[in-house]
Amino acid sequence: MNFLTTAALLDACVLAALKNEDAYGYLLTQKVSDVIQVSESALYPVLRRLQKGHLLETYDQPFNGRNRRYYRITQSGRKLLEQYRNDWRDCKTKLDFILEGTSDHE
Amino acid sequence: MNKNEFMQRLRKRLARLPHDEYNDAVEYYEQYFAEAEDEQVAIRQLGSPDAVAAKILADYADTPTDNTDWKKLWIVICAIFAAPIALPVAIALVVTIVSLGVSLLAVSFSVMAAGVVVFISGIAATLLSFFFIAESIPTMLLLMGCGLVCTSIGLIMIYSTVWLVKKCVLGSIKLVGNLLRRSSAK
Repeated sequence: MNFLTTAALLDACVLAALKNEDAYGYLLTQKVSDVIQVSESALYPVLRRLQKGHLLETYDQPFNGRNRRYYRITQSGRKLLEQYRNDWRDCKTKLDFILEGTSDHE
Repeated sequence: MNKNEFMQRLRKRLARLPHDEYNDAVEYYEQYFAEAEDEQVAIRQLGSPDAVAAKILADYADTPTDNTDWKKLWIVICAIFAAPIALPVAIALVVTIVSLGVSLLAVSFSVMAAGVVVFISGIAATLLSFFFIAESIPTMLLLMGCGLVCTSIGLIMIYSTVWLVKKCVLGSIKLVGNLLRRSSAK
């Protein structure tokens, strides 16, 4: 998918990827860049920004004698994700209406 | 280019970030390489270290940190007082604050003086009531009660004004000290 790579969508995808399980940076990058076309290097600033906004938090866990920094979604992160999902549904309905000529609210 | 060259270049590019920002980013990419199975694939996916650094720097410049607003405010205040036109304003401000303080002190002293008078007359009335002991017990009790009430009101007035003056004086000394320290530290 090529035409929907805004900052908000990127934030929403990262939050959604962490909704059910925590993940470390590399895994998260692979997960998100599988779905939306985004450079692997674009993820770190997003993670840092979300972390500073207290939407994500990190914790370290040893793995194979080194450290893995995991990202976990916070309560306010979940709230924001819910808001993004509502916005997304709204956006989707409108786009469907104009692109596919279908509409739910007719 | 291998992982070490990539990281070296990235570190150099990020050097002007604050310490914790720098550490977090470098740690992230160190871990990224540790997780990636193929170093070369990872480097190809990430792109040039310059581009990686540029994204981090751009995002850092975008996000406001917690203390910038206060810093900005302080800079503005300093700039106002540094301007030549502000000197008369500053003098007027200082004079106003000092006169406010003096009038507050004057009011406090008069309230305290009134308190002393009320206290003394309260004691006098209480003592005086004993002269009525033979004539009329109700009069004596009334006078004694009024006297005791006056005594306690006088005490409250004296103590509260002393407390207030003490707080004000200590507070202004602290304030002046802080201002002096601020301006000399600049």
